[in-house]
Amino acid sequence: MKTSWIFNPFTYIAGLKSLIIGWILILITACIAYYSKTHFDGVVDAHVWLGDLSIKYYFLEPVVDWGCLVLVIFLAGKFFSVSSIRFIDVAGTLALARAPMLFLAIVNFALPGIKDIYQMDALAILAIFTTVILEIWMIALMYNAFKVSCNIKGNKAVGVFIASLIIAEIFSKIFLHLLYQPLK
Amino acid sequence: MKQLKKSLPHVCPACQSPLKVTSLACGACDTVVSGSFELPLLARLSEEELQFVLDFVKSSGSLKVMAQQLGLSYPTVRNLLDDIILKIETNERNLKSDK
Repeated sequence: MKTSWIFNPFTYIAGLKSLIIGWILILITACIAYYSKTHFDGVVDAHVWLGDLSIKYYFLEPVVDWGCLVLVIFLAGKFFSVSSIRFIDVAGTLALARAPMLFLAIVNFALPGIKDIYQMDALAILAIFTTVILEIWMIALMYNAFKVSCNIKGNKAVGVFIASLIIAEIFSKIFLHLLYQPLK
Repeated sequence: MKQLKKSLPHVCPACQSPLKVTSLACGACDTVVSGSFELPLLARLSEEELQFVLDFVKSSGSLKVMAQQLGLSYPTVRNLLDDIILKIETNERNLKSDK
């Protein structure tokens, strides 16, 4: 069975093991994000905000992002999959799928808030390019996490995943709006 | 000389229809039995799938034990099993519709 560890580690790791590894990486990412001012303000969003926010927001954002996606994907899996799927597999694989955000939080040290795109230097352009690659990597991991944990294949998998991702993104934006409400 | 490993064909190479057994031979006395026999459902699986079924039975039907033995995650093993179940069910339906 030929499967890339980079794009589909879930062939080998899932369930509680991937949940623990995934959450350790998410917590490390939150610590780094605090210093690089990276906010994960949506399921697939990552932006640099220069505002002085409390550290708790850096830990709550991934909880909301991950929680929304897990809930939507699990419900979609229950509805569309013929297999008996487990919540722990969906939760675990989707936690590990956020691993590229650790690198993104590090890369964002090179992006100290760009106000004028015409004044970007070569390092900032390279950093933006790298963050795009990391985002694509994360979405690919999320898709494979969904495919392995829910056993949905082909066009049906693509359609259900895209719809789930959009719904989860909307939910996460709503919950994060409520989370940031006291700051406004 | 290198031993040639042959696998049991279960689909007609010309029209893709399921093959039937028309003769069986005794290796000891060369007696040949002729007729028209259906291939058992398990014999219609590929070699890899059949090995998976054997491993599954040997591990007392435990997907967790299978996952440990194969070095794969639990949902991957469950998906492999579900694919085999789907294939067996399709073969069953095809057999019924042929009769």
